[in-house]
Parts: sequence; C-alpha cells; structure tokens
Amino acid sequence: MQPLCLNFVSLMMFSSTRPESDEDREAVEKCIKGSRDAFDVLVEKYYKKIYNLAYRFVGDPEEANDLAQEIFTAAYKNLKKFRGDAKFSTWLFQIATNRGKNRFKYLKRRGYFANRGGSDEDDERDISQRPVADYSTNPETILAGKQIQKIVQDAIDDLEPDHKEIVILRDIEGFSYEEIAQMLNLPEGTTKSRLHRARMVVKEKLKKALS
Amino acid sequence: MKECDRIADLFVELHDTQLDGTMESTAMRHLHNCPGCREDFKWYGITVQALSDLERMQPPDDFLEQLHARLHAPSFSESLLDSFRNLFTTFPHLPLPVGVTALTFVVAVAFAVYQYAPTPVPAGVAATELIQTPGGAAPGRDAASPETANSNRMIARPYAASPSTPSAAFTTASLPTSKSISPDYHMRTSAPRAEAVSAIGADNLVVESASMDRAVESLKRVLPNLRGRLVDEQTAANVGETVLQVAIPPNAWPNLTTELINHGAVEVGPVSNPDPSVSSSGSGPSVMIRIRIVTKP
Repeated sequence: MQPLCLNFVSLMMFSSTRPESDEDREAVEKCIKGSRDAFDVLVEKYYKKIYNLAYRFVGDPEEANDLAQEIFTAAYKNLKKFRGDAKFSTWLFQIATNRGKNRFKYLKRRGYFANRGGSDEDDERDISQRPVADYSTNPETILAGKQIQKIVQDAIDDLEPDHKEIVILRDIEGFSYEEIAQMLNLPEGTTKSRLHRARMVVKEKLKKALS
Repeated sequence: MKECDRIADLFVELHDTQLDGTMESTAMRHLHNCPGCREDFKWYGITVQALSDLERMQPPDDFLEQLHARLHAPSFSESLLDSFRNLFTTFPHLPLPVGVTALTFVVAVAFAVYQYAPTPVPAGVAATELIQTPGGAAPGRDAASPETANSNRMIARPYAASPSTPSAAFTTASLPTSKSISPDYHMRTSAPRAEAVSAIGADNLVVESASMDRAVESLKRVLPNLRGRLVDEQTAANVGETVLQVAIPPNAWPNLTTELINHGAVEVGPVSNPDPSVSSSGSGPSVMIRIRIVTKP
C-alpha cells in the first residue's frame, strides 16, 4: 500500500476547483497532505452506505464486505487523483459503482447468482411458512417483511448491470438524478430512461411473485 | 396502445411529480380512463416503495479494523524495497548509491563469467575417445603425412575387417566427456562383430543410435558443413542397420565424427580409416567412406 504523499499539484487543483457545498473538503485536503486520521473520518462517515451499496450489488454479506474494503482501498490509493470538480461523496460512489458493477459481472459470469436459490435455510423456512398477504385490498401492508425483501433483492440480482446500478443509486441510496448523471457520466435524460426501464423490470417480477 | 406507451414513459416524472401542469393533467386523465395503465402505475409506485424500503444492511463490527489493517499493511513490494534498503543501511557508512553500484558490478561480473564460460557438452551426447595409435599408419595411408596423423587420431581398432585384437599402447587424447550420459547412448565396448560386413564394402565408421531416422537425418545435416554429399544409402543384411556411403573432402574425415557427436543424435563406435578411393564430383576429389548405422537394441 503506497502511503499518501504530499502532492502539491493535486492539492492546488483540488483547492481551486472544489464545489462550495462539499462538506468533506477539509478532510479531503488533509488526506491529500498525508493525514491517515482524516481518511478515517471519511471512512467513518460513508462506510455503512458503501457497504449497503456493495451488498445490493452482490447480495452476499461476505462478498459485500470484501467489495466495500476494496472500494475504500481504491479511494485511498487514488485520492491524490481526485480533482475536486465534484463532491467527494460523488467521487467515492462513482468508484463504488464501478467496482460493484465489475464485481457483479464477475460473479454472474461464474454462475454465482444462478446457484444462489436460497442463501439461508432459516430464511427459506420462514418464507415458505408465511402466507402471502392479499395485495388486492391493501398492498401497502405487504411491503414489509423478509418475503418481499427477498423478492425484491432477487429481482435486482436479475437486472442488467446498467439497470442495477441506476436502481441502487436512485431508489436504494437516494441520490439525485444530477448526482447519478455525474457518477455515471451520463446525460440526465438517459439516467431517467434507464431508471424507468429498470423499475419496469422489477415491477413485473414483483407483480408476478405476488400474484 | 400508443397513448398507453406514451403515458407509461412518463411514469418516472409522474411519480416524482416533476411533470408540468399540462402534461400532468393529460397523464392523470388517461390513468383515470384506462384501468390497465392505472393498475400499472399503482404497481410502479409499489415497486419504487419496495426498493426504497429495503432493509439497510449493516457491515460487520470489525469492518473498520479490517480496513485499517488492509490500508496500512506494508505491501510485498514495499517490504522487499525496505529489505533491500536495510541491507545497505546496516553498514552506516555505505550510502545506497554505492550499494547499487556494487550490485551492478556483481551482476556485470556474473554476466561476463556466463558469457565466456566453456559450453558444457549436453547430456545424452556420447563421449568420444580420441585414441592415438603409437605411430602405425592406417592401411593405404602415409604415416608421416598430416592427413594420416589427423586420421590416426580417429582410429580405435579396425572394425570387422580384422578380428584381431587392437594393438597395445593406446593413448587417449582429452575431450570434454559428458558425465551424465543419457541411457540411450553408450560407448560400444564389445568386440567388433566379424559378421557385419556391408554389401558395399568394409565399414569405416560404425554408429549406434536409438533412432535410425534421427541418425540418418543428423548425418545429412552434417554433410553440408563438411562439404560432403550422400552417395548411397542401403539397408544392410542385418535388421536395424543401414549403411550410408558418403563422399567428403579428405581433410573432413577427422571432423566427421566430431560433427556427428555435436549434432547430438548419434554416438560413435570403433572407427577405421576412410576408403582411400577417390570419387570425382563437380566439387573436386573426395574420399568415400561407409558409415554403418546400427539401431541400439
């Protein structure tokens, strides 16, 4: 692991181009100067969100842990390349999305998702014993519960990588269209249309599972 | 259905209430009148809600410790570099550039030694004994001539033509001997076989090899180097033997055996002087020799 070293040029660039609303500015500047504690502060702030995002990409706690570690390691190594033209969180989640998508593709090629019929025996017993609620009268009541969670996660697992990342960033992590467009380097219109197609796919699977 | 598709494409903005007044009215009016689209939009909302209500997965308790260990553990390349540095800093008066220079010097010396080291004889190549007769000339040769002296070096004992035991007092000239001879190759130590007489004349050279084809091919590769040529090739009376008649310049005879060994495919047995008969060819007079290749049992 290469330690962070003083990078005057990157520091100057970061200082001159940073967005005014970036609340992580100070910590990032200290990181570029070589402060490990400053990076720890950033990790503390984002590691739960990053882990959750990683989990939604790979659907497994251990894989998610490994992926999240990899994301932060990549951010640590490349922090001196961060130009500051976007918020730090945008940049961090851009790394997270790229790594998550790559990991998802890698696992999918190896048949990881095809073999995962039911990852937890206890969950399967719970799911099989619970009756499916009547959605036709009160659909909102069926949204809670592990059953739905699993159905939705399975539906996400079946999405194409491009659709999956959009759904995770918008509907699960709550980023704005503008931030997503920045992360994915896409026009906002394309982001919305991709999101729409992804939601329609998940909708059909959810409707079929609950019908 | 086109209207339904158009309205369905607006679901994202409709759900986020981002449509302008006119568009929103149009969409809502359609949903009011179209049960299919109404149902579709309802499920659309349920889906978005289900996605946002997904349980937040919590990382393991030691996530930060794991990450800290991963970020700040020295990498293999770093530790290797540090070890290299420590090697030189243990001598306090030895700065790093001096150490690098010393290492470069060692590498250069090693390279020079490697370049100029004698090439070892490959394993599997039979050792050749250069046996020098005590001065007796070969049949048909003048002992005093340089050619005879050279060719005498190749004489071990007469093969086949004379079953008598070789004369005493042989001296062996030195040649690099392979210590690790492949089991495929061995020196012939048995007495010459009196019955092995080629149909085309007495053999000048007997070669044993594990592969007949390889031996013949090796010989054919050797001949151009010696400015020789293959005259005839015949299957001998005994199974597993072939006799080749080749024409080579007189001064190439001593080199023939060496060349055969260097090509690595054959080994050399007892030899006798080449046939003194001269054959003329377009390239000048040559000496005819007969080589018997015997497949090793």
